[in-house]
Formats: sequence, structure tokens, C-alpha cells
Amino acid sequence: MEVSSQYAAWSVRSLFNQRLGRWFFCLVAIAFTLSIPVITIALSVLEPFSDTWRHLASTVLSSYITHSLLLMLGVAIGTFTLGVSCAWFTCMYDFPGRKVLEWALLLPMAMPAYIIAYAYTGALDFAGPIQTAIRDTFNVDYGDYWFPEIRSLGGAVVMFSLVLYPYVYLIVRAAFMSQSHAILEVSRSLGNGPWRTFYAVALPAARPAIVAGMTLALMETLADYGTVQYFGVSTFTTGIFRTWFGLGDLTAAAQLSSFLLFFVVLLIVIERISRKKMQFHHLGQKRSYQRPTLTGSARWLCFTVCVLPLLFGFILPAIQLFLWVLETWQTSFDAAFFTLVQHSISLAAVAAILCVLLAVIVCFSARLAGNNRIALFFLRVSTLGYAVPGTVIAVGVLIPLAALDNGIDSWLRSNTTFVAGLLFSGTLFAVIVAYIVRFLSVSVQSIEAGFSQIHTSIDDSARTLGRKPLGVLLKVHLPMLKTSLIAAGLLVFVDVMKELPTTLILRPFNFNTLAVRAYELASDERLADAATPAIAIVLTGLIPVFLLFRTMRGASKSH
Amino acid sequence: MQLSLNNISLSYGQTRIVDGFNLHLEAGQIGCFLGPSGCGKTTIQRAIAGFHPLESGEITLAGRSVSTQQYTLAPEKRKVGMVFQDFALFPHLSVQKNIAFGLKHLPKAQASQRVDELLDLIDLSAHKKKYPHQLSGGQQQRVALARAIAPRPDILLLDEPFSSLDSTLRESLAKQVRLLLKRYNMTAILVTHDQHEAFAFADKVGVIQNGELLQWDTPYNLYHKPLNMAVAKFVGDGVLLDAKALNNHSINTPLGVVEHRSVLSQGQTLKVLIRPDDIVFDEASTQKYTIVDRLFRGSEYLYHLTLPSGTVIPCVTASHVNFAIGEQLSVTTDLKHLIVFADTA
Repeated sequence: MEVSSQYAAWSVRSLFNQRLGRWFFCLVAIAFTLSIPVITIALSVLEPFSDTWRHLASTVLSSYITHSLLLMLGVAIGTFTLGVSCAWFTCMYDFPGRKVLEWALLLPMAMPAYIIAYAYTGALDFAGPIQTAIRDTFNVDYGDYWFPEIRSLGGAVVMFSLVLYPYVYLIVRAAFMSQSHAILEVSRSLGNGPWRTFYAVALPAARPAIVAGMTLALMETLADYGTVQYFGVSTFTTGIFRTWFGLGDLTAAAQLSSFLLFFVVLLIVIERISRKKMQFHHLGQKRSYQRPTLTGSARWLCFTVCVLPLLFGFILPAIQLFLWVLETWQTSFDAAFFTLVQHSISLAAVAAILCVLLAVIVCFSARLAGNNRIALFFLRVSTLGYAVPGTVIAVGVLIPLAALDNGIDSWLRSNTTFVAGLLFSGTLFAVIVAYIVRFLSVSVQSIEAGFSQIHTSIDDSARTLGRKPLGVLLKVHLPMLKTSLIAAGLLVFVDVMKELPTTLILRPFNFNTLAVRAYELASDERLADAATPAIAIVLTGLIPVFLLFRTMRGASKSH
Repeated sequence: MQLSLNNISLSYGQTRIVDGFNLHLEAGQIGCFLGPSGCGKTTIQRAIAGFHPLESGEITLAGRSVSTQQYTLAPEKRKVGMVFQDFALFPHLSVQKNIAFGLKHLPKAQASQRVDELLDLIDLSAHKKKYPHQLSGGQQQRVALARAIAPRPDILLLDEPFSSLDSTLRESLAKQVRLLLKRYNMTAILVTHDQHEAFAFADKVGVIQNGELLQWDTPYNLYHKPLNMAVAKFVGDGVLLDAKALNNHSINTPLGVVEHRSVLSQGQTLKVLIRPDDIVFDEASTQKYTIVDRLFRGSEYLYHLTLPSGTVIPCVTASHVNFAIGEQLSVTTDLKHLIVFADTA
């Protein structure tokens, strides 16, 4: 669009014209504040390495790296296999149940990895129903038969793959849908069979999408704490926890975090590059495509391939959780549970509202500056917490807030008779700040997309009709952005509900949320009791899945 | 003067697009910036509205200085109305509320009276509760226009407001909008690349190329008295032919010797502008040229004829004058008002 490119070329001078200065200042201030945690972590490598660090480096660091890499490799293979096969079949063929599976395959996204891990552990453990049934049926005892150990690195790979494949499925499916079917038809007409067409034409064309989906899944894998901790697999996140809570060395924890950050940055770079390539891989005009209806055994093969991830990634663990709830509901729905719900909801709601508010300010300021490079730079800086594991952000929030607390405390001690104690670092303030740092990008993404739908001539009209920038925002933009604002708030809300490690590290003493309680109960081997908070989390997790489902359906309708 | 652009210069980043531009518009006058896309006409309009800062110069509007190098008055304080190519109607507001959007400074009764008056004028009173997406393109355009003039701006700026409409409607719509603006004695500037639209709409048209105002004149003069070859080429159809002055009152053109009253010096090399209507079909004429191309336009035929020198000239004939390519067309020339330029190249 001509107008927007004209905007982009505006000089810096224009930022300070027309009283845009105030908005721009807000943008810079938000970006600066929210980038402190990540910068703190990144700079921690410059600090002198302590004895704790040397101890870590000589003993466990190599196992953290190996385990993290093995996890990533396994999850990459798992999500690729499940995600790509389901995307291809639901996109290209018609078979029984396809229409339902198309969206139902997203359901595992509602299941946090640590919760599916609890469900499978309960089902597959020695005392679980399956092994008991084996022992009873074949009349064997412990050690007489081989059974895979779920609480292992391999088990973790399976858990992650089952709940993270939808990232690959979603993006790759969109890529297959937008691929020109003409190139597939050309391949068939040149004598390639369906399989060869798939791996020689369709798959390479969708490669950037596959890589983008897999990197998202791997970021989640790296960020996980609940699953690997429960399965006893030592990775960076468990290491950071141990270094802080066990050894009490915050600097070493930060240095360990910076290692993890390096891996994340690597993934972000790969993802960004793939996203760019995706634009070039949009070949030709899309025509409406008539899916061939499969017959005979092929249709049942397709059905099975697509139903298994759904079954193991959502239905079976959900049933397990539900059975546990049935078993324990009389005791578990007590006053304490409702306090948990209240805590979780109020934390999530506050974080969601603040994230939406800040995202609106950030996006609108950038828009006022004509989305020029400088403004977009600060917008990106404010969402730096994107993809940074909660553990890392928690440490990054803790260090500056603790320093602030100490500063205030020592000032008060030397100048007054008050003792301040922990004003920020040990309170919900720290928790909320960490959530904002981590999840602002979620709300920014949604609201930025909303803003991009509004042509700049709308702004210009409102301005010439006598509204100041704030008036344009309140009277024109916000009403037009209603859907985006709600979606942004909901997405942050659900992410906070599911969040575990940040809350664990930063929460005030004895303050519990649903996620933390589920984690504590599971750690105490009270899996059945953990099911009630767990199922509450899964139920809220369904909200964004339905939002996604709606956009998916909207997209397929518009074609 | 309602609007004065005094020696203004505009840039995008490092690129200077407009350099030392001057223009003055009287109250109630309707002007037009005509030029190809990328010539800077939209940027000048955005500078008038306050969306683009000046590098140098000054803009005054209704007697007050609104833009200088140091200062850009905010758009909302300028009393400028704008109509956009995409109309930019607020989708969440009804027709009525769209028009009332710029009237928040008025008491309610007065505002709604003005809205009703405008609704009546644009013939949309029956649709006032509807939302923009429920209207046709032409209706949306009228709402956008009513919304822009509702606050009685000091100047109305129209940025290609007809280009998204059906091309058969454009000229008549331009004429209608012109009548409406004249009724309110509104000062206005239209930006367009379509000369028919410009001619139907404006009192005075400025031809702009590469950020430069080539000519600021009435539509008639632009066509018949272009100041330079660039305007001659841009406005209307026609070709420039090489010619030579024989003496101070006659020119030797490829179409014969033509009397001309302008200061010529003997032997001066010239360019003469030949419009398609300068070459007239005449069966009786002995002047014949070979047809190299023809274009049937329904109500007329446009022929391209080749001269012995190889130069191709256009000729418009009545629609039933039907000759094939390669045949000879007999014509006479009507060069009494020949437009002559000194050949500087």
C-alpha cells in the first residue's frame, strides 16, 4: 500500500511533531522496563563465576546440555511425524470423521505437558491399572516382565510430542491448504505416485512451515519445568531451580539461565528465517480443491493415523483425570480448592488486563509513529520475553527486584527506624511483572493483527474531524478492535492459568494457584488429588483451542 | 487567499519529493492536482492536512499559518476535511453517527439538525441507521463526503475519491459533488490522475510532475494553451511533430506550411502539437496518408496515419468511417490554433 510505505519513511523528526512525543515516550518506557529481566540474564555471563558455577560446570552442566538436546531431538521427530501426517491426511483426503478430526486434533493443546505426564504416570505406573491388569492376567510379579518406564527421558519425549504436535499440525496444515494444488497435479501428471508427490513436492514446499512449527514446539519443550522435574530428567530448567532453591546462588542460576537463553535465541532465529521463507513458498493462486474420498482400507488407515494423536494426546489422559476426580471429588472440592480457583482467576485476570492495556499502548504508539523502524524496534524489545522460559524470566525479575528491595531497605535503615523487608520481590507484584514480561507478546500479536486490519485513512479521517490521538484510539480504534482485545485477554488469561515455573519461583510464601497445587500434589504422589486442579486447568485451556478453531473455520470459509 | 502554499519543500526520509512549490487558492475555489502516481500530489495534500511536516516554506490556511519548517499544527486543529479513496468510514458507527463524528463541538440539537440536512442533501435520509457495509460504493462515497463537510472545514481535500467507483459513473459523480461543494461555497482540492475527472470537477487544475507544478490553469487553457511540452503530452491525446520556422509568421510542418502568429525567428527548430481533432476526415481531399493502426471506440474511430517522414499522427473520425489498415485516408488539417513550442532538446 502506497500510504503505509509513505508512513514508514517518515523521519524521526515527525515523531516529535504533532505531540506524538508523549506516546513515543510511553513506548520506549515500556520497552525499557520489560526488557530488564532478559537483559539481566544476558549480562549475567559477565559476572565473575562463583564456586557454585564451577561446581555445576564440572558435574551436572554437561548432563543438562545432553538431556536438553536429546529431548529436543526426540520432540522434533515426534511432533514432525504426528503433525505432518495428520496435516497431510486431513488436508488432502476425505475419510470418515475428517471434519471433526480437523479441529479435534488441536485439543491436546489444552493439555499442559506436566498434566498429561501426571495422567500417564498414574495409568502406567507399577500400581496403575495397566500393570495391575498384566500381573493379574498373566499371573506374574514385579521384575518378571518388561514394561517401559514412563518416568524417563523417553517418556518425556512422548509426553511433549503428544501435546505439542498441534503447533506443527496447525502451521503445516495452513501451508498445505495454501499450496497450489496445481503443483501437485503437475507432479502426478509427470508420473509421480501419491507418495513420491508428497515427499518430493508437497513436503519440500511446506518445509519452512514445518520448521516454524517445530521450533515453536521446541521452545515449549525448553521452557518446561513441570514434566522434566516430575520425570526426574535433569535439564536447564530443573538445574536453575536447584541452583536457586537448593544452593541459593542467584548469580549462578542467572548464568545457567543465560545458557538456556542462548538455545532459545537460536530457535527464535531459525523460526524467524522460516517464517520469512514461508512467504516465498506461497506459490501461485489457490483454487478450490475437491478432496478425493478414500475407500477400502486406505480410509481406515487415514482415520487411525489421525485419531491416535487425539486419543493419546487428549481423550485418554482426560478420561484418566476425570476418573480420578470422580474418585476424589467429595474431598477435593473444598474451600481450599475454591481459594485456589480464586487465586488463579484473579492473577490471570489482572495479568490479562494489564497485558491488553500495555499492548494497546505499545501498538498504538508504534502506529502513531507510522510503524517506522525505530518504533517497531521498541515494540519488539517490549515483547522480548516471547519464548523465554518462565524459569529464566523469574530469575531475571528476581535479581533487579531484590536489588531494589535491598536498596530501599538499607536506605530506610540508615535514615529511619522502619524495616521494609521485601516490598517487591516476595510479593504478587513480582509474579505479575513476570507474567507481563512473558506474555505481553501474546497480547501484542493479537492486537497488532487487529490494528493491521484498520487502514490508516481511518486514523486520518478521525484526526481531520477534530480528534486527538487519544480520541482516535478511544472512539475509533478500540470499538473496531473489540474482538482482538477479547482474544488477546483470553489468550493471556489461559497462559497464566497454565503457568507453573514462574509462579513457583516468585510466589509469596504459601500462595497457591491451581497449577502450583497440582504440581505439589503430584510431587507428593497424590495424583488422584492433583486431578481436580489439573482438570480445571485443562478446561480453561480449551478456550484458546476454540478460538483457534473459529479462525480456522473462518479461513476455510473465505476460500 | 483561503490557501497558500509558499515555497514549500517536502521529503520522505532522505528523498526530496517536492521542492519550492507555490500555489494559491481563493475562498470558494475548487482546485485539482493532476498528475501520474508518485508525482507528489498526494504528499502535498497530506502536508496541507497536517500529516506531513515541511522541510521549508509555509502553508497558510484561512489566514493563519499552519505549517512551517519548525511547526506543524496538528490535523485535528486545522479545520480540514478529507475524503479518502477507500472512504475510510467508521465501520462500527451508523451513517448518522459517521456524519456526526466531527460535530462534537456543537450542541446536540444543532449537530443533529446539520446531520439531517446533509442526509437530505445526499439523499440518504432513509438509510441513516444503516452501517457502512450495508451501503453501495456510491452511497458510501456520499457519506464520506457529508462527514467531511459537516464541520464546515476551511478546506476540503479529496484524495482520488472517485477511483474506486465504476468508471462510467465517475464523471457524472464528479460533476454532482462539484455542485454540492459550490452550494456550500466550499474551497476544495481534488487529487487525481484522471483528467476527465479533473476537468469535470475543478475550476483550476494544476498539472504536477516530479513534485513540480507545471501549469496552474483552467481546464480549457490546459488543453488548448499548454505552457510547455510536458503539459501538452500529459493532457489530452496528441503528438509533437518536428517543425521549422520559415519566417516570423509561418511554420513548415510535416503536414504543410501553417500560418502562425507568434514571435518566430527564421530557421528556428520547433515542435508543434497535433491533436486527433486537428486532422479531419475529408473524402474530397487530396491529402492522403496510409492507415497503420485503428481503434474502434463505438462513437468514433481513432486512426493512426503515417506521414511520408515515418511520423505517426492520430486522427479521429466519425464511427461509420470504416477503412482497413493499409488503406489510404483522405484528410484535411485544421491547424488555425496550432500549439508551438521552441525545440529545446
